Amino acid sequence: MADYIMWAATAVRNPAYRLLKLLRIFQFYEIMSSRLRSSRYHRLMKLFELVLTTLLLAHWMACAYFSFTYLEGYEGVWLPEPELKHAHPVLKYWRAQYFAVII
Amino acid sequence: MKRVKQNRAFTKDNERQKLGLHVDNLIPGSKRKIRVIEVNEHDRTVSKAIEQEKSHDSSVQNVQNRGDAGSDDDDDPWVVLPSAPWYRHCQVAVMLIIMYNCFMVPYRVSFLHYNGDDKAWSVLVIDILSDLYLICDLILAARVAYVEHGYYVCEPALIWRRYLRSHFLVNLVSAIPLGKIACLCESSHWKFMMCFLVHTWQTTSCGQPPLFAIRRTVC
Repeated sequence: MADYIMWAATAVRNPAYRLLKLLRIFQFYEIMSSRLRSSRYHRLMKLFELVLTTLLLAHWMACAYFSFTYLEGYEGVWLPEPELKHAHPVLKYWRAQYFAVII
Repeated sequence: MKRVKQNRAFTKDNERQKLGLHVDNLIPGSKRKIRVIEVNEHDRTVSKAIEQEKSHDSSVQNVQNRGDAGSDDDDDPWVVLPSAPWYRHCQVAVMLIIMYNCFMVPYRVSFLHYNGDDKAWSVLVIDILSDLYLICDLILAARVAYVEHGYYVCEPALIWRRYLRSHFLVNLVSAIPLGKIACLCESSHWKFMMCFLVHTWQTTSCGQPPLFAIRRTVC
C-alpha cells in the first residue's frame, strides 16, 4: 500500500506528459457560455473571456517561441540573446512574452 | 427565479412531437417516465406551449424547484440538475483547474524542461489533487441532466448516451495519468508483474487468451 502511495506521489520528470490536459480548454469555454447565459454580468464576462483568450494565446506563443529557442540551442537570427541561457526562467519568460506581444 | 417541474408519462405521439422529445426512438425498450423540468426565460416559445397545455391538463403539478433532484419518489436522486448551487461551484473549480493547467503546463514544458526532482511539494500536491478532481468531474458529468428543447432531461441512459457522444472521450484522454504510467513502466514493479502474468499464462493455458489464464489461476 505504501508503495502505491509513493508511486502516486512520484514526481514526473517529463512535463510533456501533462500536455494532454490542455484538451479540456474546450470544456472551459463550454462551461463559461453555459454559466453566462443566465448571468447578470453577461457582457462584462464576455469581455473577460476575450481578454483571457488573448492572454492565453500570447502565453502559448511565448512558450512555443522559447521551446524553439531551446531546440535551436540559443543560436539564431530571430532568437533571443545567448546570455539568456543561464538566466532565471522567469526572465526568459518575459523575454519570450515580449516577443509574442510585439509580433 | 421560478421554475416549473412536471412529471408526466409521454403516452401520445402528438404530445411527444409537440415537445420535441422522441424518446422511444432513442431507446426502444425503455418504459420509464422521462422527468422534464421547464427552463424559463430562455425558451419563451416552449414555456408558452406548456402554459397552453396546462390549461388543458389540470393534473400537472407545479412544484418549486429547490435545485436538487431528490424531491419526489419518482426521481432518481443520483441525477444532478445543472442549476444546483453546489454543482455550479464545482464547475467554477473545474474552470480554475483548467486555466491553471493551460497556463502552467506549456510554461513547464518550454521553460523549466523538468517537472520532477526540483519541483516543490506544494506544486506536486496541487497537480495530484487537480487531477483527482478532474477525474471526479469526469464521473460526475455522467450524472448531470442536460437541456434539450428547453427541458432538463433526467433519464440516466439518455444522459449517458449524450455524454458519450459529446466530450466523454476528451475528458477520458485528458484524465489518463501518462506520467504515472511512464513511472510505472520504468520501475521494477511493472516488470515483475508482467513476468508473473506471462509465467501464469504459459503454465496454466496453452494458447488461451490471458483472461482465462488469470481466472484459472485465481479460482
